[in-house]
Amino acid sequence: MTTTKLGLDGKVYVSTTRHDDGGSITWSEFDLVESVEHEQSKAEATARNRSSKFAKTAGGTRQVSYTLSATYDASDAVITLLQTAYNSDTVIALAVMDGDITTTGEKGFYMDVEVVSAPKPEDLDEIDSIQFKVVPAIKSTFEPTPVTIA
Amino acid sequence: MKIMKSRLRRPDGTFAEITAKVSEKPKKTQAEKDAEVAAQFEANLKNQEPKQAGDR
Repeated sequence: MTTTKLGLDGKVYVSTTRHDDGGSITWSEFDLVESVEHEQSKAEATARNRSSKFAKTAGGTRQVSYTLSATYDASDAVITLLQTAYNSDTVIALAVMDGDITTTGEKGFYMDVEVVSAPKPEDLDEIDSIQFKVVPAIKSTFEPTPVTIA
Repeated sequence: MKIMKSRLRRPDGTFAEITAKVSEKPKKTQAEKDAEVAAQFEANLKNQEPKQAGDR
């Protein structure tokens, strides 16, 4: 059996309770998401000197962000939550998972994030969509954490 | 291994409990770090020892 994953299997969850609040988080699924773009990279610090013929590199700070592209529904609770978080600079909790967050073995990322952009383009002959870009929040003490559901 | 508890609110209003595991890298003690440095130093010294004639 293989464990390949389809984008369709992935799930995104949000909560207004942040990880560093200390309280219990209650997730709501963001099921209007169409695609999830993920930035995951390290800054590269490179040394070149006469001790080696090779430039050698050490990984520096990590850059992580998600861009969640979704169908726009003005009455959807999660869309409203994300728009409110954007407008009020509020930190929220985010879980981006390979599959259902209640299924043992599924992997993903927990983080506290701030929504830094939320454009809602309106094309004449398209159903409205909205894109939320989220990044780790400096206002939270919680470090972005890879998790596996037990 | 750190455990994080949370729950999921389903569309029908019910809740499901969630337990997530977080892998944590065990932190090395200062004594372990010192032992590693000493071992590396010994290994470097061995590499620098002159080769025996018979090694050729």
